[in-house]
Amino acid sequence: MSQISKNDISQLDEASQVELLKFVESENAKAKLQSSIHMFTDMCFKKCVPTITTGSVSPAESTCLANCVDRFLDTNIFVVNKISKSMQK
Amino acid sequence: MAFSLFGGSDKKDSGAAPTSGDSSNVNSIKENLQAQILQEIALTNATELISKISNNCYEKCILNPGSSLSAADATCLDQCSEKYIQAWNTISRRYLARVQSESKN
Repeated sequence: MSQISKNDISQLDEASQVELLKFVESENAKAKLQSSIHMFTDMCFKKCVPTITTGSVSPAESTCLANCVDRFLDTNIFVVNKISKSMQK
Repeated sequence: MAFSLFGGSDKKDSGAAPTSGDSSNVNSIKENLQAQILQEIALTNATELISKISNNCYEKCILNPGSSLSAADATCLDQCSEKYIQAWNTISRRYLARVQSESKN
């Protein structure tokens, strides 16, 4: 498959360029979410799956994984609030 | 689903006549670019997943690296990979649900 070239983009009319820009923005937003999911899975797998004895996640591990994400996000919100309060003083 | 918030309306026809080139050519360039972008993203995602699974499952399964990969090691790696992918899906669902509920508030 050919690489993206400047020439290709300059051949597009303005409406297509705008559409392409929106496409890139939305794909970028999705990629950011994916990247967070990779980070959370890495972090929570380490915390919640201590041993490998079967090929599937147990109910207890599954609960732990869900709590792990939720509490991480709570932690993040907590820290944001705390820092923004201290900056208002 | 949150994913199709912006991407879903690709097909809309703005009605504006292209200012240069014929419209089928412009469309094929555009679609080609979009396909390349999607392919790049899929590749990055797969690479990231492979790297994370390798690190985590090596850590859990290969406690004493021997002169070859034992059958027990292979079984563990197989199960660990399955578990990791399941964990990825669980976390993905949970995180996206949370993102959606937070954005409503």
